[in-house]
Amino acid sequence: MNINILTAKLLLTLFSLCLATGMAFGQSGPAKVFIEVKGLACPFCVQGLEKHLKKLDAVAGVRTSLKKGEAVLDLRSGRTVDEKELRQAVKKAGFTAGRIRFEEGPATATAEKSVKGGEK
Amino acid sequence: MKTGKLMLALLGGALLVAHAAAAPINTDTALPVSQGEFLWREQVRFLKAQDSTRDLEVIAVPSVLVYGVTEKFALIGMVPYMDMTLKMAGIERGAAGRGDSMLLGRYQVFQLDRPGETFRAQALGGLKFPTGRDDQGDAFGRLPQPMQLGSGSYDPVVGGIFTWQRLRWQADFDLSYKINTKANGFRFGDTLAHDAAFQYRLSPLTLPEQGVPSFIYGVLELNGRWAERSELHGGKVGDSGGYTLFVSSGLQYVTQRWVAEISVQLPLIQDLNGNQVKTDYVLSAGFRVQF
Repeated sequence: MNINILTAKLLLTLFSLCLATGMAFGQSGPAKVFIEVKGLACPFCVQGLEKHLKKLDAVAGVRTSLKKGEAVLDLRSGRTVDEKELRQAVKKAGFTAGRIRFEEGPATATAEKSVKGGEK
Repeated sequence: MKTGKLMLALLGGALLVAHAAAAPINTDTALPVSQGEFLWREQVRFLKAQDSTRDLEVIAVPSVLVYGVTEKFALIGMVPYMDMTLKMAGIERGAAGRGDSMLLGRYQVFQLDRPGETFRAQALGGLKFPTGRDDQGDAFGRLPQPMQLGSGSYDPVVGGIFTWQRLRWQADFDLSYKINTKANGFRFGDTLAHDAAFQYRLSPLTLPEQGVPSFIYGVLELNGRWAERSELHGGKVGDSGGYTLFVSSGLQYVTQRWVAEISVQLPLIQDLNGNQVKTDYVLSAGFRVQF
């Protein structure tokens, strides 16, 4: 086999792999999600909320501010989460999701936004 | 020993176990139990009642497990341990062991959520099961029905609960009616319970911008219990039934995972039929944990 063809195939394979994993364009997902949680008014209620939010695959951690009535989600690298999933998780905990704001992680190059939902 | 003179044991028993799933200490709440979450609550309650000739002590340890089937519907199971002792004219009688259990369903019919605030209403319904022994006796013979650990009857309960909660305070109201049925020739009078609770956050005075601090609540409650006269072999028992209104004050320490609480209840009104021993006080201490 021609060495040039072999090299070209190898490069193409690597390029495809990089593209698939989003590395080639430094693709970034939302690093954080801010959820306004309506109806949250005591510490004992927070556990159920955080438990349901942590069950989402994309969520690495949850921090809640009782005063602000807000849950802040740290997302796993390169992962995104659907707004509908977030609202459903808050609902299962017994509360009502208000405004949901996505904050993107650091990007290394221009990339297509993979944020689903955006700021409402 | 006249059955009716022991009726306070019934009233006390109802008081001691009726509101074991409360968020305030002695009042039910309409706050949610998240879907798939369990809440376990243990309490020790001690009732003291005495007059010149009688001395009654009741210890109750209601164990409660609540499960959030959905965000709107929760199942509540309660099994109490009871220990009742009555001293009268140099005689001591009593019983100890498992009391009657209760299975309740709680469904949310209204929910209005705002930032840092919620208003909810729930309907409550269930059944009391005769899991406590109702055939205990001692050297003086079979214990009168009100001194038995169980009633022997299946008794339905219906009610409603309302909660208004804000970051600084919370108000709860409940109303429930228990239809008591006949067993062993005896029928306890139906009971109506009404409660109102107000709890105020004593600490922290101001909330931090971030995080979830633990709260200390001061709790003030009014707990009313009305019971109609009981029936023995079809006739009304004179020394039974009546109305008692307690004022309760307590403290709660609330974290994300658990709650610890203490409370003392004192009677404001005791309008009891016939000759019944009146309650002096009820003390309670307990915890609840969710998982």
